[in-house]
Amino acid sequence: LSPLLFNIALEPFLLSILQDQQMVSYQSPSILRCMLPEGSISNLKYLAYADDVCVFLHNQNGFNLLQSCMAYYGRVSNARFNEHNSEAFSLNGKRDASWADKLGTLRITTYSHLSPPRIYRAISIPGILLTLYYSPTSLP
Amino acid sequence: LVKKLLNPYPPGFIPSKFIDDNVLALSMVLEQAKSLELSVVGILLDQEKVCDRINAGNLKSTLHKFAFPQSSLIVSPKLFFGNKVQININGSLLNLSYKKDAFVRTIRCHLYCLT
Repeated sequence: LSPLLFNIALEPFLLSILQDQQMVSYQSPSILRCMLPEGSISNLKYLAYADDVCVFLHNQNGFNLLQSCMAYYGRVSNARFNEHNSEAFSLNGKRDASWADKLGTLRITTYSHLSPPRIYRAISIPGILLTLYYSPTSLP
Repeated sequence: LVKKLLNPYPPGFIPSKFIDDNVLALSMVLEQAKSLELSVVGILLDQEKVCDRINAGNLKSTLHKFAFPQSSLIVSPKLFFGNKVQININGSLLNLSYKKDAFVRTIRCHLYCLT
């Protein structure tokens, strides 16, 4: 039961991200929306599994808002985020100098533009996944 | 019940939610961002000893906000804190009371001994 309780304990943090209107969400691919349960993914702000939370940020204001969410959640729940173990990655595969500067000032030293973060690298088989989901014959 | 309480993007531990879903979603997002040249950054947050640091009072008030009954508010935090484990091996009861980080190792050792 404890993992379920952990879900509930983390829920306020996830909700604070979801409900922050100023934090721009990511318009997820339509192909993804139609393949997952209704309501599960429309505007994607984060992906979470267990204690790994991956937040998508469109601009640096979003990062400031995220930091506020983290600080508030940390104060009420005793959670602590490790910036030096957190990692950022560019979604479009290109390094953005302004993001690199911003992240550098916040002690997030890993800013990758060539590969997704470690947890997804470790378990993903991108070639197979993308082949499956982009092959016209595999679509309903 | 927990699935109904959580937002549509739960962090796992519920039926039909697998990390592969996230891998697929991230793959799709990466492909779209590349094709549209979207300047979006993903940040994977690392939390320090996340389960060990959960605050009992905060967990209790969160459960209260979720309208859990009072009896649950008393029992549920005990699943996180102050656990005491007893293992019965052929009628011989071992009392274990270890810190959480040592708990798994201890269980493994005992299971190994059993094998």
